[in-house]
Amino acid sequence: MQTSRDISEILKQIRTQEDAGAFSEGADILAEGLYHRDPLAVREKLRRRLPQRIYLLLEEEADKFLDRKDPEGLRAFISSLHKAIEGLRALRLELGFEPTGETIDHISSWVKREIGPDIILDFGRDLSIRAGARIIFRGRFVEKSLGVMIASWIERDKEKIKESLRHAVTVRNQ
Amino acid sequence: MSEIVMVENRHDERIMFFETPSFIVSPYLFISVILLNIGLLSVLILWGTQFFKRIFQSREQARLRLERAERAAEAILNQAREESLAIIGKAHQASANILKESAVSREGFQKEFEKVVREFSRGETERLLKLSEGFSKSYQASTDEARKTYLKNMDALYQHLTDRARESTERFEKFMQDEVAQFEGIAKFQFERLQSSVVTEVESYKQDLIKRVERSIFRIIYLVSTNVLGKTIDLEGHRELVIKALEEAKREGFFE
Repeated sequence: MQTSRDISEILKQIRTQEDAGAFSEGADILAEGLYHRDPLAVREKLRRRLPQRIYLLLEEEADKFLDRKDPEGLRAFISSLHKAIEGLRALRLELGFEPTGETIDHISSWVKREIGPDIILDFGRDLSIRAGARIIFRGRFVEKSLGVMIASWIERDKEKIKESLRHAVTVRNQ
Repeated sequence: MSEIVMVENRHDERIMFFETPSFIVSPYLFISVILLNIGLLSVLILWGTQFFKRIFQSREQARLRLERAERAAEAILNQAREESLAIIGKAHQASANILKESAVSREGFQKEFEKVVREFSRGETERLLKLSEGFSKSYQASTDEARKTYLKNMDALYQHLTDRARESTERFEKFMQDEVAQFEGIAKFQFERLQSSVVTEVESYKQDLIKRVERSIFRIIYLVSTNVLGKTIDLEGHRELVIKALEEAKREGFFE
């Protein structure tokens, strides 16, 4: 089915919560355009309100219906897009740094591939995490930060560390 | 009789004086009065002379009567003295005789009295000696008996007291030994318990200190590691760590 395939392509591009909001807003603008006589005005509004990446994606998809003068198809696309966005599952990642677009792409690709294509990322910032991430998903959370990693390393290799310390103290006292 | 006359002088001051009566200055009357007085005086002198003369006479007579009475009294007294002297002389003689006789009888009485007393004394002495000897023997015997009884009682009492004292001492010694043993047991128990408690506390404190030191060391390692690594990790490293965190969570089944 044409619409399902298009929607699945779009969903691959929705990486974050912000992207989902932008796609949802774009769908709303397109819905307004169904009753607008000037398609250019709709495009202009999309261009002005949405990030360029999302605007280009929506414009490309919308052109298929706008150019064919297929308002029913466009209405079905908008409805499917809304439903798809509503069905997305958010994975919140609290990080100790500000992720770049490339980092977001990298993480999103991994998530959609390894967990599910309907997963979008919701980034948060917590400087105490420093590195790694605190992961929150479906009401549960797990911390996989650098601190936790080091703590688990210390816990796992505690005896080795103590032995090293004793050795260091003995050598120093001699 | 005179009258009081008031006269005023030229300064109109009143002067008062007595005026002599006319009959006084009459010479006949005056002479008559003088003669009368002389007569009266003469009579008085005569009477007085007679009076004093009688008085002197009475006094002389009285003196004479007194002298006579004194002489009579003196005679009586002299006679009485002589008589009394005679009586005294007789009495003295009689008393001397009596004294002489009494001295003789006193000497005899004294000798007799001394004899009787001596006899009585000797008899009484002998009787008392006999009595005292008997009494002494009896007393000695009773004293010996009493002493023996006393010594016997004292020995028994001493033995009894010694036994009681020994028993009390032994009981007290045993009591003290028991008390000391009990106290030693309690003290030993308390000491061991305290020692064990102290050892446990020290060990606990030591372990606690070791744990605190270890925690501090690990905390330092943790802080140093996170600080150093957090600052030295580059963007790619951050990204890889996030992916690694996600992989680990997936491996743990977090997303299922």
